Amino acid sequence: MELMLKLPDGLDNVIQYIDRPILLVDAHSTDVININQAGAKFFKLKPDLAGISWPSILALANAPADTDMSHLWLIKKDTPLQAEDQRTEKLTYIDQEDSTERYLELQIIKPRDGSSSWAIIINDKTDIESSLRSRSDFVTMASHELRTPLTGIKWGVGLFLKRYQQQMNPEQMHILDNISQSIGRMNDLIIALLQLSRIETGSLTLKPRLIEIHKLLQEVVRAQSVQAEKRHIALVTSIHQNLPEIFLDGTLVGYVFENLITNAIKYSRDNSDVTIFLSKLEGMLLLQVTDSGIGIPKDHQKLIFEKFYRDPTAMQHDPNGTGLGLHLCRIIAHRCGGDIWFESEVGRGTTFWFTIPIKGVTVAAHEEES
Amino acid sequence: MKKNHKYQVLVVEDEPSLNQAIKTKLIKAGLEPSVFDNGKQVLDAITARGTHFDGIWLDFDVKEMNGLEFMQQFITMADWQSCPVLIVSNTGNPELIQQAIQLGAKQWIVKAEVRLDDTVNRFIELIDQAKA
Repeated sequence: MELMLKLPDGLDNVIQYIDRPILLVDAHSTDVININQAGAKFFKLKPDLAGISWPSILALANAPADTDMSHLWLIKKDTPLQAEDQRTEKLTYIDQEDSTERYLELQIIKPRDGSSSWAIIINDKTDIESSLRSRSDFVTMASHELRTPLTGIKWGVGLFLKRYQQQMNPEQMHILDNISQSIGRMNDLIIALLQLSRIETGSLTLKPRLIEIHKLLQEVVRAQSVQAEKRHIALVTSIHQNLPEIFLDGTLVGYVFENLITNAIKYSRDNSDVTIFLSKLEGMLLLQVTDSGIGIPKDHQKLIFEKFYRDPTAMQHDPNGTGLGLHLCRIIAHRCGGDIWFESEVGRGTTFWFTIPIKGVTVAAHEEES
Repeated sequence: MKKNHKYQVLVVEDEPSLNQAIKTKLIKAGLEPSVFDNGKQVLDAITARGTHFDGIWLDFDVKEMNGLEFMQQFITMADWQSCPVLIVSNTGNPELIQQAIQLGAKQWIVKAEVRLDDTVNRFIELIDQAKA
């Protein structure tokens, strides 16, 4: 079978033998007009493509609920795609032979002027997905198991302090204080890991209720003020008071507030300001948290939302961070229909912005049931 | 703009910590701010002292007198046109913005959108433009 493309010599051969399935679909009839070897093998198609249409292949697949099927079925031929005239869709496909589920990412490329065929490149993500899933399961299990003995240690130290505090000298007390602090940090880390794996496996569902967002922020600011005062950092706040009640998961949004503000304090210089503004802007709530602290080096800025990533300056400044906080913040922001971004300059400080739609979150039907 | 001339500016802001932070930043930038926590005091100060001010930093949402009420009275005063007003607010309500601009406010800033340092810079630019 030959690909009917006018390609430079040799390239058609590359496409034919490349290990990723590639199909050409006629824009009018939606028939599969050509397929490379990997594609024929993947979809168990005979070289004779007569009667095979793209919808008949899709009939064996399930797309996520929020997918615009018209893109997948290639019906709206004139639908503007992205600027590059291509888009990526995800779906699960049931393999006919062994009934296993495959997680596919489809790269759909619009016909060029003068051409009438869509190109579809298939990226089988099944192995990656399943390894991610098993890693996540492992993290969940390990975190749960670690918590039990840690609680035991915590209680033990607490009890010890209560009974023998009077008899201890300053050095002994100092050592025990360090132990307590380490337990606290380990506990934080485990909680963050648990939250992360819940979010990643999708088992963390939003539990929205009507909340007064300015009060939520005020509470977080109040809780952080002790830490700030210790280092003479002023929390300069201006919070919009006349906001409607918003349908949101307060725990998760509070987690983002807390993270941005503790970070700002943590990376600030003593005797400086952290400004916290909450405003309403075009249907969105906008939070700004600015510090005049150490800042994030340019070449690390792209990475700071990545899981477990910590930029070296920050690590030097505070070796105890988990590298999970901002990663979780971004997941939560996107989950709530909002966004999170920042600007930063080394030595001058960092500003984070976090938005949430004022209309609150909408909860998918399957989430409401749980 | 005269060299070494220190701009005398008014700041209306009723959040004490912010009020203080703005004052510090303006002084650092070489301005001479007088800070008030409500608009009435400002109007009284202008009437009583007859002092000339080079610019007004107005928090729109202050209690007692909101930004629009302030503007309505402010424009009845002599010399107001040479004094640019920057409105800083926690809401981006387009209607209010429109009204305030019609009354002569030069610019409207939504607090959370702009960094405080940048707001200070814009304020100084506004005054520079008015002087030019």
